[in-house]
Amino acid sequence: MIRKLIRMFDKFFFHPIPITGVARMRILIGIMVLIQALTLLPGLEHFFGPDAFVSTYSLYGPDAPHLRLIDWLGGSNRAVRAIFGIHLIAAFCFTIGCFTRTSGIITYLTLISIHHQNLTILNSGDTALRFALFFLIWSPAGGAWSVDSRKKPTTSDHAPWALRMIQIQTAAIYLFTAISKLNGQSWRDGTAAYYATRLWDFERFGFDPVFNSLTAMKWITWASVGLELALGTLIWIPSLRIPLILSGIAFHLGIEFSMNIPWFEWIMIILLVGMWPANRTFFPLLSRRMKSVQS
Amino acid sequence: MRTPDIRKTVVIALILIHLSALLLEVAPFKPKAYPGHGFFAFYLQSTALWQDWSMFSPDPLRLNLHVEAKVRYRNGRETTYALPRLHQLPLWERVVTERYRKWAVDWLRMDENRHIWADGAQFILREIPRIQNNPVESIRLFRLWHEIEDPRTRFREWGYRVPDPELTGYEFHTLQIPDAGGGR
Repeated sequence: MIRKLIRMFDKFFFHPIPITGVARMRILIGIMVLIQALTLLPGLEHFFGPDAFVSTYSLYGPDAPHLRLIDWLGGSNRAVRAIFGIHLIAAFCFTIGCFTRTSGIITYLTLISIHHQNLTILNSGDTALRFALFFLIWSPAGGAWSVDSRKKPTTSDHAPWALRMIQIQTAAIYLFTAISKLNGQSWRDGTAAYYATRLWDFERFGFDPVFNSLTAMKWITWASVGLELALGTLIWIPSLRIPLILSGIAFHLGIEFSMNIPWFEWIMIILLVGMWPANRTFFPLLSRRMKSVQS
Repeated sequence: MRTPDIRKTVVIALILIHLSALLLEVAPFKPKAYPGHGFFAFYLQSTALWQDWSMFSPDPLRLNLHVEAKVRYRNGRETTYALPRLHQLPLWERVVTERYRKWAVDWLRMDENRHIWADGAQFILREIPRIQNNPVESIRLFRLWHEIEDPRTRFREWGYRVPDPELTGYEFHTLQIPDAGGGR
């Protein structure tokens, strides 16, 4: 029994799979890191500078244990701009796969420095980017569709443990959120979606027949929790994986349409794309066309 | 032969540590016997992988709220400085301004975050225009809210609004500017 479990563990984390899955994640996560950084630019000094709306001392007290490159460089606006400049350049290099490992590590260190500098503006999307980036820098993410792979071709397969960790984290997000929601009265009685759609600051586009029907709101509430539970558990069943990924993507697009939760839905869609089975092509039509061109 | 084995051992250790940290520190069903804040918490903190997945859970907020400041000048004039209210902004600006909402609504207004109130008031003091010979005397921070009623007793249409005077308000912090009187 234990031997069988060890064999399953070994196969799941170390049996080689095509490198394109992790390369795809590198590009998509890299783009999201860049977008997140660019949307911070207009408020850079308010968020991180010496005149920010919260100081790191007030946040952490005298013994802040975190990596904070901005403070280490003096905490001036110039230091903020310098770290941001390095972050943007490194994230761009990581995205195109140029010195991928090094640029990934620099992107990660600057990202967590920026996040540690002001926790009060962070959201779940930032958390997701941190863990995705953390595991990508351990993987051969620059092995395909990258500047690095053009210079020095690498093998097409790799041990997928880093990608698997991103997948486990993704499933954990859904599972933990769903279980936490099941402890809430409004998720059980079906009114949660009603309350969430009545929060003015999150409003985007409405769809009256659904949003103004309490019955529809109840079904949306229960379907959301049910889907999140499935995405956290049933997604590991191979035959259910693709239908669940597609349902998850539709679910996040629906939230993106109706609610203003910047970038989180897109980051979750990217993480779901990372769950796509390695033996199934992600763009079947494109891949078929490429094969016919090659032949 | 040795190197790949060592590398794999390190990777397996990282996998096991991370999975244990998820189960013991992050999961909502963590074992009651686990004391917490031990090695796995240290691992999550030091790698910046701390996480909390509680969006809209256990229940979505039932309050529409915002924070604003009443700025009082030495001559008695009072103005209002409102921190961004996203629903009043164009769609694109909401994306960029969401970080301000996060700070004001999720952090600044909370009683348990009183350690950042003074910074918030000082920030507003820096942001408001200076008036010659009429310095700012005080900045009072207010949270204002409207509680969303249970839809089974009162159903609100999507996109409903409540006029500002009908919001409930509470002053939670006052910053007195010491040299406003003397201008020293």
